[in-house]
Amino acid sequence: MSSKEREVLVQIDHLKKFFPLRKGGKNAAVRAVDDVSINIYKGETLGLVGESGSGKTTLAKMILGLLPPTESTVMIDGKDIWNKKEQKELRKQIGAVFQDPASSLNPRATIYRSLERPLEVHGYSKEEAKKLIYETADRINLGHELLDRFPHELSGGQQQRVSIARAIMLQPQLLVLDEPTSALDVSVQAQTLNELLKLQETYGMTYLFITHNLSVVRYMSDRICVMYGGQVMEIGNTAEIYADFKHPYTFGLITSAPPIHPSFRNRKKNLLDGEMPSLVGDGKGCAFASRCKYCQEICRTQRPEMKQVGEEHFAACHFAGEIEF
Amino acid sequence: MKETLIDVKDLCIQFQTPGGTVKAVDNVSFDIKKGEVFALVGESGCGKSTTAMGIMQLIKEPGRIAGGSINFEGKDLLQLTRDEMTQVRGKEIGIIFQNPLDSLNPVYTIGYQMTEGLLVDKMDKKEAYKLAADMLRDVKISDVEERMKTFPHEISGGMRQRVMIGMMLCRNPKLLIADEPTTALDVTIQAGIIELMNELRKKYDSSILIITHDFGIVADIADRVGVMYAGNLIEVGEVFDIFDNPRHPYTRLLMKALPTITKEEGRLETIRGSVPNLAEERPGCGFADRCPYARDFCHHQKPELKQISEGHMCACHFAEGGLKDEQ
Repeated sequence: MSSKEREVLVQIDHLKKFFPLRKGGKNAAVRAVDDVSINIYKGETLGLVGESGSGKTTLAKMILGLLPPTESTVMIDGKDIWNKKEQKELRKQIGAVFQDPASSLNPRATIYRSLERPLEVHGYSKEEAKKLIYETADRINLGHELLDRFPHELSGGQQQRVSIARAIMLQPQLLVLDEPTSALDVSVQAQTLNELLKLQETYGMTYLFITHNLSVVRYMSDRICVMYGGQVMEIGNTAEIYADFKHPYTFGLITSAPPIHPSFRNRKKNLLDGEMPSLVGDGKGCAFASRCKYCQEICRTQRPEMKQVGEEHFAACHFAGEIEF
Repeated sequence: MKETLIDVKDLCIQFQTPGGTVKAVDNVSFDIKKGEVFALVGESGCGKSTTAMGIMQLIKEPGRIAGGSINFEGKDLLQLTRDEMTQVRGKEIGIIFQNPLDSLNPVYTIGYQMTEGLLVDKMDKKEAYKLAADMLRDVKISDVEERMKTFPHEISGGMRQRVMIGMMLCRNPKLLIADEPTTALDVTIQAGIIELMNELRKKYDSSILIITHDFGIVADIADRVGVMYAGNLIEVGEVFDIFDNPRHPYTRLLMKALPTITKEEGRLETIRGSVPNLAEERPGCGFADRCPYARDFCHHQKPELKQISEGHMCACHFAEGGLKDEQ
């Protein structure tokens, strides 16, 4: 499927989020998301990867309509999520699952109550809500006996299943999954990931899958977007990102991931020196310049444009396609 | 054959809870050779961290070490007095934890904390400072003089973990225990820490016991691996044996649950059911309820950890036979 045939569900165009600072002059701000443009197509899973502080969650919050952007906006199905009139209706189209299931469930409310509340908000009657809750529980193999329990009586995997149930109850078009399995054990993670794939197949949902786990994102995603310092470094098909990355940062990130077998111990690595730089600045130049070993003068002064380096494969590097890794 | 550094035998650690006695570590035996990296791997609650804390004798009430022996350089750690054990901790066996910020004191400088242990060893102040500074260089920290004067909150997470490793190696322990040392860090930082540990083990010839839930870390650094499940050590072997020829059904399923494929290639294996309640008496194999190969007697008879080939041990009744035909 080429991008032309697919329908765009989420459209983000030059989106920015700056957090102003009190100290450091008039326009000093943390550039958490700095000029990000991406599309998410209907029915696909877009994986969003990057280190902590790369702006993944800030971007997700803007898509969810929880954090107002500094510049530009997020269009979902052609409608502006920040348009007050459409917001409530649009929010029904978006579900969210977060990393720590225990903290996204009210400890003093039963699971049933936690599931009922969003339906109440959207004007469902008690009977309608009850029917929908039981239906949803059946859909994701959540035993009915669990509904009367409190969050602390459930295991981490079960709690996460409740979060997923709540997120999909209103049959949203888009599900934003922010590190949904990071707090789970390997075997429970496998169950949860398979469950999510099944739901997607059945209901044709679109996923934005945010994680720092590179093997999980490879398993789940059709396309992968690599972020660093609030900017998109590279975006493309999963297979291409892993086998034929064009951005030095992607090279560093992917080869830093631990190997899947001890025979890959001596793989070629690009270990990144130093730490992610401060996001306070003028936003000139490439965000990765300070840690990039291929960095040239131009990288510090001029922000690289997104360059097409393959079919549906783009990299924001002045030398994309020219560097031999 | 390398010399054995530490030999843990039949270690039992129990916790008294209102729900009964929890056997968090149940008859666990393994040894670590000199200069070797041994990984204990398993999911949460399997007893891997408790085993490490048992070696350090840092088990707190209501927990207690209920039996076994820990032979370290000719002495049984479990027979030592409190004062003697204090001499072992930090000096002969060092430990680093998941969150370095919990291990570092927020009101003292890095330099003070780095030299503290050395001063306990009655080292001269200047000498201690020099050694600490050299060690920080060894763990790849730049501007060492500056860093010695900073406080833990002023440096990044990756740097804090490097400081912890440096602090532990200062006293040149024979064994370094690393309990999930990179779990809280980004992959790029993690890769650096693993590389560092690999370099330092060669330089100082320390043995390392690494506790992790991440098979990737195991693949990257371990020489030998012990897999734990529900308080039991269920399989021990060379790292290549564990990855290429896992014999225990749990190890096999866990390997297949790792996302090493894409969704086009297939689905991940899942393990049905959940971890048993460790407070209940279980006469049989701890994994029997979830095991696709389990027979009747698996529920009644506990399998011993026995050798199935050179250096490869497994606690399963069917470890020697072909598991594939049994399903």
